[in-house]
Amino acid sequence: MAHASTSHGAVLDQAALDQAEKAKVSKYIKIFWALCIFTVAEVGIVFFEKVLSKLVIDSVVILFTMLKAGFVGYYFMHLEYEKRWTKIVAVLPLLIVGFYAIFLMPDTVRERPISLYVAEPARVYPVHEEAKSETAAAPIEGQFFQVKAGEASSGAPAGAAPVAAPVSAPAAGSAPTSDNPLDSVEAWR
Amino acid sequence: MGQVAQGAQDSHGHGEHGALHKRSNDIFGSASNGKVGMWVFLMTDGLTFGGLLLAYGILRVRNPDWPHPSDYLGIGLSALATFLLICSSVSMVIAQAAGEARKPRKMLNYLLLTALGGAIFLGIQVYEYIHLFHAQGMSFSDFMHGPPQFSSTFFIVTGFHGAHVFSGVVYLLIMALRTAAGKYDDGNVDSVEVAGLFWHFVDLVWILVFTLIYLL
Repeated sequence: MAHASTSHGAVLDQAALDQAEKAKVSKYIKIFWALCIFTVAEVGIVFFEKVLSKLVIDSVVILFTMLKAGFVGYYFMHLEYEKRWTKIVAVLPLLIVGFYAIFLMPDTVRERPISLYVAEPARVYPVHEEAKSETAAAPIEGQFFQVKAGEASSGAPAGAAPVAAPVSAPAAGSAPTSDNPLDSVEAWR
Repeated sequence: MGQVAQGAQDSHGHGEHGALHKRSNDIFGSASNGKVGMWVFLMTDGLTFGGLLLAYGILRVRNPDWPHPSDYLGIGLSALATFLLICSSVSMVIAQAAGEARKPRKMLNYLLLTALGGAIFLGIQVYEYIHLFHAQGMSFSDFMHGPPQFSSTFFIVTGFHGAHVFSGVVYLLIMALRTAAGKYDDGNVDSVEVAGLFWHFVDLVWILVFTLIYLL
């Protein structure tokens, strides 16, 4: 950048320009290797899960990340050549987000309820594809037929009951096996 | 934006509008108006990413069911994407160095290489999204194996970043077109550097996103 401004008017010979370019590129390649090594270290450190604690691993990963971000900002974005105010503008978001994070710390305590936090009924997450298709289909059918069966038993003539009974049977059978929140909705009804 | 930056430097650079230029010199040194403008924009953009990442952090630490990301997100593929973005950042600075050494042809090639890196990154991201949709049960608003926030924070953060990569690729291609038209033959590549600032910022954000979303 320095000689983009000096090149106004002044005649620089191509050899000097080439020299400057070469110096810059060799510096950039060094930064590139540093970035690559830190990335590999970040990904590879999980193999030391048995030896190191989670806190140590996370701290090291965050440290490497900050170093990488610093390299990109300082060398690639040429902050090294800028005056103080450009640097301040550059780190301002980090400072603001950092302060914000500190002020949000009390909210990160799980046990302490905050006023707007509404507890959801506990969800049970199926682990497999098959499990998913069961629970996705079952509650809707169950709910539908359950209501129908209720109608049939209360108001309909006895002839309609055998029709409703077989379809409500699988729904009733599947209900105790799943801890689906929809079941509790039915119970509440 | 590039045109404005260059025009400003050409007309103010020789002292016709001394007062205006001098004031900006004292504060921002030799940085052009375009560059200062880009830095201020990047500050606001950084705050947007910061807000999204803070929301992600709060949702995550408050949720005891939050899964470990590496169980569902592909670390290898995103590490490859990280490597690609780092490479394209390097090719961007090499392009600028070539432009300053009055080698517009070389600068054009490296600009196109940079844009190619961004395009491949986008391709990887599209592949990853499709994979997560179908194999891991992640949609924009729900997640089959855990709290839906895991899915929605992942997609909003990486999606917002992907939008930046896309606009960055378009920006770089415009710069490549202007280079091909001979606009930077004189070695005054300030507007290319401004485009580079945006591109490095996208890389920098991805370095943070990769750690915070995928690794931790």
